[in-house]
Amino acid sequence: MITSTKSVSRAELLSEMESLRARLEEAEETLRAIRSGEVDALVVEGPEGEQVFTLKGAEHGYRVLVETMTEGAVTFSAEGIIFYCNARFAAMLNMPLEKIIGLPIQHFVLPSQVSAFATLMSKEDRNRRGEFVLMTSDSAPLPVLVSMSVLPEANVATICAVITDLSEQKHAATLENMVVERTAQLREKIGELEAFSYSISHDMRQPLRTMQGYAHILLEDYGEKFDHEPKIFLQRIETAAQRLDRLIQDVLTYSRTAREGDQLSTMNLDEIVRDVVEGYPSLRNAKIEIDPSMTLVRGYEVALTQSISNLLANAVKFVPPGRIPEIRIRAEQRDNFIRLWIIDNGIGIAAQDQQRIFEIFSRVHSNEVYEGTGIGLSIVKKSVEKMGGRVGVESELGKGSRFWIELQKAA
Amino acid sequence: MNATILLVEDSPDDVFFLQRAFKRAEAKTAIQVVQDGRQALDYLSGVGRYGNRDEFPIPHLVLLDLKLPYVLGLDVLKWIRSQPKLQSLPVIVLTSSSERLDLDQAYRLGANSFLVKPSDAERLVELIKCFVEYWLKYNLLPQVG
Repeated sequence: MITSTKSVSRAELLSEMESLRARLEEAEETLRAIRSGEVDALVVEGPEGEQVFTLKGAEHGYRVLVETMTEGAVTFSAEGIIFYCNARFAAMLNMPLEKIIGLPIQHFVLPSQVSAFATLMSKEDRNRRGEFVLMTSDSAPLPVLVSMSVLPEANVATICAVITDLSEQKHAATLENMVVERTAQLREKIGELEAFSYSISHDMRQPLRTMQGYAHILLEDYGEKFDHEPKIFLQRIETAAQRLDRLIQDVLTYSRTAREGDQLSTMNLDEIVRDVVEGYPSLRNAKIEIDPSMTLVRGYEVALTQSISNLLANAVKFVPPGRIPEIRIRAEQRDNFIRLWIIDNGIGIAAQDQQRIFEIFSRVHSNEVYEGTGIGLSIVKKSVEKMGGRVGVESELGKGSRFWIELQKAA
Repeated sequence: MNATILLVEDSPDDVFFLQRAFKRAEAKTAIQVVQDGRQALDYLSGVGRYGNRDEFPIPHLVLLDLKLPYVLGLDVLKWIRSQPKLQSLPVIVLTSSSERLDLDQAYRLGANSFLVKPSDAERLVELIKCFVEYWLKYNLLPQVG
């Protein structure tokens, strides 16, 4: 062997290599031509002389179809050895086509599904299908639908399979499930809120009506039995109960407005601000300066009144003891929005607290210092956002606060 | 006409306010009070002591609160409409809730009117005056029972 190898000259070796390279090129070109459907017949030199394989007529169309279709196509033996696959199948597996041919198809099936895949292969029906997960060259799982059928006229038992990539479908199904789940959660939340406001409207107003009712009856039916002072106290009970009832009704109206998503209407900001300033007794001890140049905005009356009164109530509440609250209210135009500033001379808010004060139940002070529920500013934020606006604050501890709400300018 | 009104109301305070308001409205009415939904059903079907129709006559009108113990107001209404003898009995809902859900459901079940209890006693008297004027003076009532 060694001597015989040595007897081959370098020139002979080079020439053989050259001829092999030429044959390889020819084979590759032939393959390319077969794939693109340019070839109608192949002449193959075999031991029994030249054999002609014709690839004409309908077959030509099929080849083009198989090579250009968006599904993977693969043929393999009864044992699973791959004879042929199209470019799409190779792309799915992220592997060069040449490397796939000759490998067992089971190699690409998720190990836990190999036996199920084998079962599908061994079935007799002409058309059989199943969902599997293939492993791509980088071990990424690829969900696919496999449809198999047996090639009846082949000499060797040949199975051909069409592989449909299901990853997008699966992804869409996951998204759809998420949407369905979210919607159900939201619906549940809305249901809870409805039950909550239902209960408020029934249960909270009842005792209020009772307080107000008896105070009123005492005044009206037994008034002559009281001195001046007790009468004033009774009147105060009645007034306070009425105010609380109004508030409850407002909140209910607001929650209903928010739920129903009514159309925004044009509101006179100037009018609303003045109504709030005049209507709330706690504002009477404050010096309030209102910018007269205010304009029309888009909003809900209840939500807007609520927001402005909450901001003003805060402005007079959070002042150092003994200081007379001074509030400036002014509006400025910013593109299509009107920004309403409420500027106070109060205690101010530290930078680290400025974001969280808008969250529900968040409070910066204890009840002993400044009483409150921690809901006021969250209502402002929610109301303003519902009206398509924004809220914010600029402040420094000890230097007053400049709260603002931005509302859509009315056309 | 001396009309009998069946007031279905669980709050003794509201019963008191309503009786006072009817007095203020100078209405010629006999008000029968039941305090929950089950009692309302017993009264209307004449169960037990309510069998004595001289003392507990079939009412000309029902004033119905919605949030009631045992049997809810809307279920009382549903039951009334299912009784052949009571189908035409006018039922006026009088409740503290103005929830759209209650409102729509009450009318769907056959309520003849839906009134929200005012928050102050003054306006309650006004409401009852209007009620008496409309339902007992201008409105013609059906023969029930």
